[in-house]
Amino acid sequence: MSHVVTVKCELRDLAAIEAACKRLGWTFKRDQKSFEWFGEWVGDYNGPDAAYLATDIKPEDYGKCDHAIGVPGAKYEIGLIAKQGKFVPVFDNWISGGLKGLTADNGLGGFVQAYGVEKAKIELTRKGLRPLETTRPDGSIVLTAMAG
Amino acid sequence: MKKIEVIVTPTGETTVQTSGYKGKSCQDATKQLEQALGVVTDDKKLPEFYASEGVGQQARQ
Repeated sequence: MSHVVTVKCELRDLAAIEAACKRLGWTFKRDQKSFEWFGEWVGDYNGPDAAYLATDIKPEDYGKCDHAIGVPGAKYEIGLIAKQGKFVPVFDNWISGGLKGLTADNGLGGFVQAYGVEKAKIELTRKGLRPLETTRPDGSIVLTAMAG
Repeated sequence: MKKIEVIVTPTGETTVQTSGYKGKSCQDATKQLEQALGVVTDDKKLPEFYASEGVGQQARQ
């Protein structure tokens, strides 16, 4: 083995985001400029990952986005906001909205994993390689590409 | 045989690893992929990395 690199995925590629949504059975809503949420900020969530603390998104701008994602069975949607070359996912985690289970710790319910796999496939294919996909017992997805 | 493996955990932690490459050619093979995926947080070079690309050829001469 020559080298091992660990990468923190950033959502930058709309094609990979769309493919990740398709993989999970979610719906990518390109160019949708608002996303479903409670509709009014009531200041009841102030955890470190609250949008107004973790990003410079102001509460008065909650609900605005550049693209959106629909999750089956959820009333609320995920908004994607373009910031410095990447898309920041924001959503209302109020339990009745159906997105409570999505957290940074679980990679947004598998979305970050799906994005990483689809983005790697795009890049490997662009290099003329044919990645083979397998899944490990722990749920990790492995793409293997023979490069000659 | 040169091989590139990308492993993505359920939480999205992504690892890119290479095998069969000698020297810095492995970095050249995956640098674009790593940059496209996001931000590199760790980079471990393994013994093969330090082998010169010309070593095998020199041994046969």
